[in-house]
Amino acid sequence: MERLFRLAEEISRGNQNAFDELYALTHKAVFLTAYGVLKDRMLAEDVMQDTYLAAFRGMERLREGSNVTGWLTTIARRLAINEYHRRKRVDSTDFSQESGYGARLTYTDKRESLIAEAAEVLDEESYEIVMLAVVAGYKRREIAKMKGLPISTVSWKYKKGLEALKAYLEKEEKR
Amino acid sequence: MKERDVKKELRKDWREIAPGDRVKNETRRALFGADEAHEYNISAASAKPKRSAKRWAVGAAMAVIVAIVVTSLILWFPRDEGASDDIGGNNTPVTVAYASEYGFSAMSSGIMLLKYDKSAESAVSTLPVGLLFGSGDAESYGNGGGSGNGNGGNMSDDEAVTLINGYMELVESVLAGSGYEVRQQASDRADYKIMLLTDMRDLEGRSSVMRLYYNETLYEAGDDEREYRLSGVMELNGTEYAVEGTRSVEPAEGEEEMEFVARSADGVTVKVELECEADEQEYEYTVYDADGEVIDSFSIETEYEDGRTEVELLIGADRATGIRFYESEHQGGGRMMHGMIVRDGVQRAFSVRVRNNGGRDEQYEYTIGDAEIVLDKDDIFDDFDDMFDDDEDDDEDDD
Repeated sequence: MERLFRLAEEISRGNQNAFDELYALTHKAVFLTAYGVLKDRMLAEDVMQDTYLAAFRGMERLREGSNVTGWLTTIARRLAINEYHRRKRVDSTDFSQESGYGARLTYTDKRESLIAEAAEVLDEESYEIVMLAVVAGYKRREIAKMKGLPISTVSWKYKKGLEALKAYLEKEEKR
Repeated sequence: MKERDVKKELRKDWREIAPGDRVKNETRRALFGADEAHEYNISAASAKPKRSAKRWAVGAAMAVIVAIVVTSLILWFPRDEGASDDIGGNNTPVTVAYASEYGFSAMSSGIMLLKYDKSAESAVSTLPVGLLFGSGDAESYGNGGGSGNGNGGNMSDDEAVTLINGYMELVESVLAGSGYEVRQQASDRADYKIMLLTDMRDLEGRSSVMRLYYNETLYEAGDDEREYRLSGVMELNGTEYAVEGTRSVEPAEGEEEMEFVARSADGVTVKVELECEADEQEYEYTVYDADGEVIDSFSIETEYEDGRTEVELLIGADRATGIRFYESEHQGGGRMMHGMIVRDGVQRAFSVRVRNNGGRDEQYEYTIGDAEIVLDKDDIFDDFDDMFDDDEDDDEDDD
């Protein structure tokens, strides 16, 4: 965590290598946050880029000891939701499915992956915890710090999230 | 279905949707203006040597790692973490299983580095082995793989036999070569408290010694989880590599994760990620070139279930090619191997009975789908010697 803060400081001084390292350490979390909302790879990539730009142009708001990954994912989520609403105004909307984190925000039936489906099956927090642990490789302790939750809550939501996805896949297989 | 299948599916999806370097490069340009690093990447890429010259050797290296994992039948059991808190202390021995993980990770990453590090002398590049899944070239793993004859949706009996043969020969060879072992000795370098030695024999029976010097510190200890950091150097065949890693344990859950990274002087990097649960473990290997681009990727997973150990090897970014199987004793004598081979997502079931008459008189009986094929071991080895020779000629042409 402290390392990320130092890297962020270095980036503000124009250190490109620091950006590369920080990007490598955080881009999965940022992308998955945006993808969970938008469920579209290209849109999530655009939001990811906007996230880093917005973050490092607003570096003065980052304080010593801040959780950099949490800061980035918060920006990513806000930008992704903005993007969703912007597109919702343009596209016709299908809100026939009203359960789950992604379902509330879905503006298209297009599904790219189980990750996108997970955003529909799980609530927002569970989705992020499962993705951060399984895909981004964060430790549960790190996720707890990132999200300001007790580690027991993270562990519980992680287990429950995996169980829910397992049940979902089993149900899909039977179809 | 198990939870690990869910995790596997999510990771597979991630490999398909993961953002490419375009976003990073564009963001960097937007943040910093002129993109010198990008220019460097382009020139470096154009100067990159052809990988085809190494394709056999790389595949062989991967296959050796796989075969060692399989034949060692590394099973994971929850361990007493208390014993390793003092790791790096002056007189505390390393727990054997944990040392083996570091030792194995170091040795296997060293094998991969030897294949990709142009400055190092390869210990295994001349192995006369038939290759698992054909060429072993990173670019072909997810794109047909095999022997360059991917036919998109079909797999003939001959092709299936070829894939299995590559594996069988490797296993037999490694069994004969006794695999590897890890020993801890007093460090002869003042900077590092621990030295692990790993002896391994290549498929020609030559011995190599890998020395891993490192310090490990308890970085963070929470109620449920402990994290250790490792830093050190690895010596293999006279070449030195920087290594670093982390190890995280959750004793209550019986889980452990480890990341081990070895880097050559010219920037080639091998990352080994290990994830262990009660009765399963998974190694993921990723090799990066000096520009940070992935040039090789594969995973090996073992799971103990229903009294047997199942092994799965998947290669390429999409993990669409691989083998999964388990072995058993045959009631009539000898060993049986049962499993599936997968190439580009196409699966075929197979079984192999190895009649153990000793030496090279062994006979392999294949059943692939409805076809039954009987081959003498000599025939298999001859086939692969021929394949290897042919490909070396091709490589010379490439160069």
